[in-house]
Amino acid sequence: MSSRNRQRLFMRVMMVIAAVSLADGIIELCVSGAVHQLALAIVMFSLIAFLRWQRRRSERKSGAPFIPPQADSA
Amino acid sequence: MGYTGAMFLTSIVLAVPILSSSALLFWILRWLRAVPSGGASVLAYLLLVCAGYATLFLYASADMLLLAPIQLQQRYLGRIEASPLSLRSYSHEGFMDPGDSWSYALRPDVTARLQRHCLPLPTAWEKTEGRIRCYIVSREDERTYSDIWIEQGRLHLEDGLH
Repeated sequence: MSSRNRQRLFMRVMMVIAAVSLADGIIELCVSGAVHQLALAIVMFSLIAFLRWQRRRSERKSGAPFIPPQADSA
Repeated sequence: MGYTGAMFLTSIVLAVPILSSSALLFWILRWLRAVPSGGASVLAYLLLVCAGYATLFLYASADMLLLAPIQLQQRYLGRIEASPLSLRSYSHEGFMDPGDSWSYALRPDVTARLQRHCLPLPTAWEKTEGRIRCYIVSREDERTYSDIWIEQGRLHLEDGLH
């Protein structure tokens, strides 16, 4: 597995944790008004989005064309 | 102190183990080149810390919203009368003597069946602000208390320290 694929796997695992946190955060907000899990999920999604944007930008700068994940995996 | 406050306090108490375990995991992932290098590595570490806290909060949520009320119902009612899907509200109070309370929507047939087990105590069928409470369990010792009652078609559970 290349380092690029490993980084993608890392981002996917983080995305899954963030998505589960978001779902749990919504449930907690509804039943108890707690916002900690929802806030954490939003921070995680923001960090993931920023890291993705930075990766795309560095790939564009280096001249390598950005390959969408679906096309790359195919 | 509410649920968010309790989790905030837990986050502070567990900051050192979470930060250090995230650092160890980050070091392993860096060695495997699974995290970006350069300035983005700081963000990747922050993401790992957030994932650690998210896992901790998920565990706390599963414990407080699923496991604890199920154990309480099994201990005092003998079976699970209200499923986790019928949970309508949850609150966490107290700091040194924390207590939790849950409220579940009940089906009318379950309400009728449980109302047959109302305690023959002065507190049972207590009238509070025009509403009638049917206590099924009301116990306390030197340190802990547990109350289970039905009010307006809802099953209320309270458990904690005092």
